[in-house]
Amino acid sequence: MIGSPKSLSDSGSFLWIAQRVSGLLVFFYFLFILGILVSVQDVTYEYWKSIFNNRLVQVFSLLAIVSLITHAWIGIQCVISDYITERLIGPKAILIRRTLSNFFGLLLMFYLFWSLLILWNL
Amino acid sequence: MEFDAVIVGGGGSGMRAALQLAQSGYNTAVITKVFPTRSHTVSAQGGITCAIASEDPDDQWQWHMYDTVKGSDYIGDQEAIEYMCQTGPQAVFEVEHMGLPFSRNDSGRIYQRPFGGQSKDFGKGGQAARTCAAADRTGHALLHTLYQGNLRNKTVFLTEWFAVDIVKNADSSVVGVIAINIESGETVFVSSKATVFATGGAGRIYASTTNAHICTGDGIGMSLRAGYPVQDIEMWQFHPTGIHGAGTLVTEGCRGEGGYLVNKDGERFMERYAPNAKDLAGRDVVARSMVLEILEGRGCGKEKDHVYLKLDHLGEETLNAKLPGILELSRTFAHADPVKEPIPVVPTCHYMMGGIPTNVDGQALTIDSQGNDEVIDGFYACGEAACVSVHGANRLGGNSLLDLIVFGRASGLFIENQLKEGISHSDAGSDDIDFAMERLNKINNSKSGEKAPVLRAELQTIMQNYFGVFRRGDYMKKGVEKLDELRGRVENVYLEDKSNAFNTARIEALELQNLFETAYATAIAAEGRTESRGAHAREDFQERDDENWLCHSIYMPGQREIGKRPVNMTLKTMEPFEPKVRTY
Amino acid sequence: MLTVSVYRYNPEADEAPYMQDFPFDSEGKDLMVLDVLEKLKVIDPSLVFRRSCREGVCGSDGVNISGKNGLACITPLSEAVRDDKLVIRPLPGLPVVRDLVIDMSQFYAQYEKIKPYMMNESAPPEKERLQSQEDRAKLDGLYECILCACCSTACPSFWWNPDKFIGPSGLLQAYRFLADTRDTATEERLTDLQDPFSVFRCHGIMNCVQVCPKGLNPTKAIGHIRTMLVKNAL
Repeated sequence: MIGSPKSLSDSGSFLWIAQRVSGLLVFFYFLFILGILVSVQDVTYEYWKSIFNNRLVQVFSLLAIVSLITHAWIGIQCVISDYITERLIGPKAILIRRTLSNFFGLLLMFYLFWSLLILWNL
Repeated sequence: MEFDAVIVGGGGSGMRAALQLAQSGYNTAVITKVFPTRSHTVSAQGGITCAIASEDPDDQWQWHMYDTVKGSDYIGDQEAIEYMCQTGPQAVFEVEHMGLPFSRNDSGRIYQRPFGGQSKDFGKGGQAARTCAAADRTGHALLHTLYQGNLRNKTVFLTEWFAVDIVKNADSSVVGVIAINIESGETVFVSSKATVFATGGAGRIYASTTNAHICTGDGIGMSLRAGYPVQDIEMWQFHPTGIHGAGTLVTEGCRGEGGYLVNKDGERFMERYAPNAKDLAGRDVVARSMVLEILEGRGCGKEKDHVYLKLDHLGEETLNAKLPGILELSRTFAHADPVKEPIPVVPTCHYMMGGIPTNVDGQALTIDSQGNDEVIDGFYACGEAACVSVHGANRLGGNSLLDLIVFGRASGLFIENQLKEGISHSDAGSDDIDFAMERLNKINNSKSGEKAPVLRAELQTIMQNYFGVFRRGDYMKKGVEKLDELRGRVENVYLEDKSNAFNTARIEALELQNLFETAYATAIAAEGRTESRGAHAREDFQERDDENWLCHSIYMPGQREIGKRPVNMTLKTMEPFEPKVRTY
Repeated sequence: MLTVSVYRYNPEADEAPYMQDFPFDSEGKDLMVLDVLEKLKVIDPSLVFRRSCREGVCGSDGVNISGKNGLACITPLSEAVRDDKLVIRPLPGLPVVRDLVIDMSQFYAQYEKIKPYMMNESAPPEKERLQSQEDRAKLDGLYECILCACCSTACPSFWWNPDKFIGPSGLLQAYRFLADTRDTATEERLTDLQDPFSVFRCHGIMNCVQVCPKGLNPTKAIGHIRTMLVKNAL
């Protein structure tokens, strides 16, 4: 066995798997929605609501949302730590990185709760 | 800066010596003018010749010894050759254990290929296959493995530092070197209980050479300026197969794998010169035969100035597996694809058999006024810079890498024991250091004169024209005169750019003077040895003269003639090999 | 007539780097770029570059030639000249010491980080350790690396995080030891590499593969390491 990382966010493998699994889930969810839009001729509000009243669809949607948030979070962390480094822009990089990271963290949390609220209210 | 041991040179022998000392916990530094894996060992292709009995389970180190003594044309020290051939397997297994990625045979053992001058049963049992190979990149694999071993053992690397001159104390012991940090230009005295020169060869004294730009005989130059002798320095190996025009090396392994040389008529001419060994005769024999073919008008190409090395009959699969590096080099430098067409080759300066005389423990020797060997306190040498001497008048292919690891290791072991017993020198005084700084100061203060590259080119042309594959007394006399004229100009070389940061012009000026000292010693020794032996072939003395010249030549700096030193024939395990007529 | 445009910077004399143009006559020969540099150094001895073997095995003279990283000694003019112009710059992404010479300590530090030596604590046999031809073949395409840094300095991930991302060259060597059947430290090596940066910052851009003068494929080796790590995590 190889030594275990301090936390999941210190494990490159975990992040790598999470990124790909979440990506796949979002992709399949996208296909699912696309399938409905293509196969059903006239998508009315009632029809749309009936689909989302299905428990399985709700679970799938929830999974897709969490996946999307996870995927975005890992991706943004990656981009921030690639471009905003002390090497490139000096010590202020730490502050900028933390600020951006917090901003995107809050934004994604907001999106998450908002989406949950929508699903809940169905 | 102070160390237990300082090794000048980060090639195969230097890093093997450093490894030995660092493993034992001694504070060891390697001064190297290039990052260690850029050293010229990296260019060795074919392999390490050693009787590990892999291809032939009955192989014996004594047979390897016989070949080496014969190859040396009997002026290799048999005591040293015995030590090398006997200790060799252990040294090879050690680098394998360190991770060297040797090619393998069917049974999973190290792959061995035939090389020139190899035989079974003391020359009576036909061609042997004794060269341990990592494809055709053995030197690269060895050098990287040794660097990795040193990293693991925390050797201090003074990378891109250039050693300028030897520092001696009041008792004439060697106590370190003056060195320049190339990146900053800072100059320091690196003091050491043991100073090992592993500075490699000096092929760049010739215009056409397989050697890297960095092979400038720095150790030879420093040693001569310190008043120490060099031995057998007239013995320069011309490798039969340097790529025509570019000079890059094409391994003897090509012929080991079944390749052969042809002239313009497509004739396999080596069958005429060496009916038994053919293309796998000694390198000196093959190189001379090629030059004769060219001189007699059977050379290839428009100018009829080279011959062809044919490989296409071996098939693409074999070439890809056994000689991938050669395919690359030939396509790049000869614009010839060996899978389809032959490689244009010509004998090219390759290896310096001579060097700083040492004993088997790597201790550098000088000759006292009575003509006896005298150990130089604190000073050691190994590898191509040293002349221990295992190669005598002609080195066998694959013996150089073995020389590096066996005698790098031996020097390390010996110094390790010395350090255990305790070494103490009196410190160098400021006068001693100032004395060693004189040359550098002169260059730094130069106000006029000629540039290093111009003088270097002139030196190389003189050596190429007057001291090449075939030598003649009257030509060599003229060559020495030209060198005498050049000396003053080289000593007054002009350094225009006096900046400190990574000033390679300064380094090149210092290298030029080392090249010159090496070349001058070569010229005097070549003119002085009035016979033909091994790589030293004279038109005016065509025979080997055992009565007068079964001995080493010793060139003392400042002198215009050479002395003699007897060949060591006292063996520990067997009777020495008596000189015989050398045929292949 | 050719124009050779060379990046110049001498920290003792210049405030900023600049490009210097040299007219150059190759006399119709397809010289290597290193030959050109050598000839320019005769004209201007203050021009600084590294070189050693001049046959593409020592890795000294990695430079950026007309926009692409490569070894000066094995890049012929015919491949490098466009519109009678040859542009030579230092390898990108690492600090310039002078002219074409860069400070490679960051690159070497990453190499040292992967423990580039064989680890096998079992007592070695009297002779060599045996290895089958098939197992030895796994090292082909890995051990040939010459540490010229053409790949790592062409890698955007290495430009961004040269202190945290090992870079293609170091990772190729990491896999050289992971793939060697004689090495027994696989778990230790993988533990050292499992953080989000060392290996996983490879985004598969493949600049390394495109520029490697020895025709090696670091991206493939990185893929193998990643597979080993992910398999371990699952």
